[in-house]
Amino acid sequence: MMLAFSVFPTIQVRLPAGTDNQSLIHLVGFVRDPFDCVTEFNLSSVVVVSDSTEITNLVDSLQNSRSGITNNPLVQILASGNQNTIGQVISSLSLAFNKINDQTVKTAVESETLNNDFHFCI
Amino acid sequence: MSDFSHSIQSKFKIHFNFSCVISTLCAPNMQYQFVNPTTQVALFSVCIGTCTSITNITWNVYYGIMNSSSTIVQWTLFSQMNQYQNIWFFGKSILSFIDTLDYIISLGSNTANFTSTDDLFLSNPSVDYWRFEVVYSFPIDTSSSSLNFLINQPPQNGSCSINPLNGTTSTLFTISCSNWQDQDGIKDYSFYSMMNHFIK
Repeated sequence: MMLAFSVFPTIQVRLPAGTDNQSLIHLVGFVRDPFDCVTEFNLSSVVVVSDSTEITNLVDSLQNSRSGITNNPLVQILASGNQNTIGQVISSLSLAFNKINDQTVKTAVESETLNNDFHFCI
Repeated sequence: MSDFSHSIQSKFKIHFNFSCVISTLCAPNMQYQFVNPTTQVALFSVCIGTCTSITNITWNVYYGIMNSSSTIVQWTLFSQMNQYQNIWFFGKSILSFIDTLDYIISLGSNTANFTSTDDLFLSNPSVDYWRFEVVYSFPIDTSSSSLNFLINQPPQNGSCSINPLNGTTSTLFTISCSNWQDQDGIKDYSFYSMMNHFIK
């Protein structure tokens, strides 16, 4: 997924959590000349773990603190107008929510399996 | 769209018609067409004048090397044209045929198309200069026209690094790029992330 686009050689980015066992994110960059000739290169892979506190605070703010939601740092970033940063936060959050959803489904299925076993015994 | 005409023998005049589908992808640069190595070249020629007796239209490709001690480009015929016929090159030649009375039948056409896929440029990254030539043959004469290309080179010799190498989803990582060189300048940078399950 796209992380950032810049005309400047130095930029700051927020990265999504890595999905493998080592939480590794692999990064690829492209540098382009005025005639759209492009060189592709790899950057060092980075270990990124989920900041669960940040996500929990966001969910809490959304559910319980409607008046104070503008104080949440992620909400402030989403309202910043910085296209790169907004994209990075949305990508990161969507991956985190998908992961939470996967875990919920997994828990539900496992629970259902246990119930079935119980009914079968009766 | 550009018209080019260069007659070696002036009895007939041959017009070369070259156009860029996406105009920003190629730019005239002195005597050359400046294009990216990912460009597919499609050329069209038409003979103007008394062209009813054309017997053969052939396209040739040359590569150019610029001597370091001078600014003159030395052109050499690309010898693998037949090998890559209908692979890289399409429409290389249109031949007339000779009937049983050995009477040369004219082609009945004064136009010719030629296409070279981008494999020619991409497979020869060290070559910056290319020439495409069309040769019209007549029973006692030939006439030719050519068009030169200069291949744009991508940014080179640079690198980018990221710091720190580990963090959380709320960490601000800094990506720094340096030493990228391109004679046309650097336009922009873009960065993508890949998850392990997409790589597989």
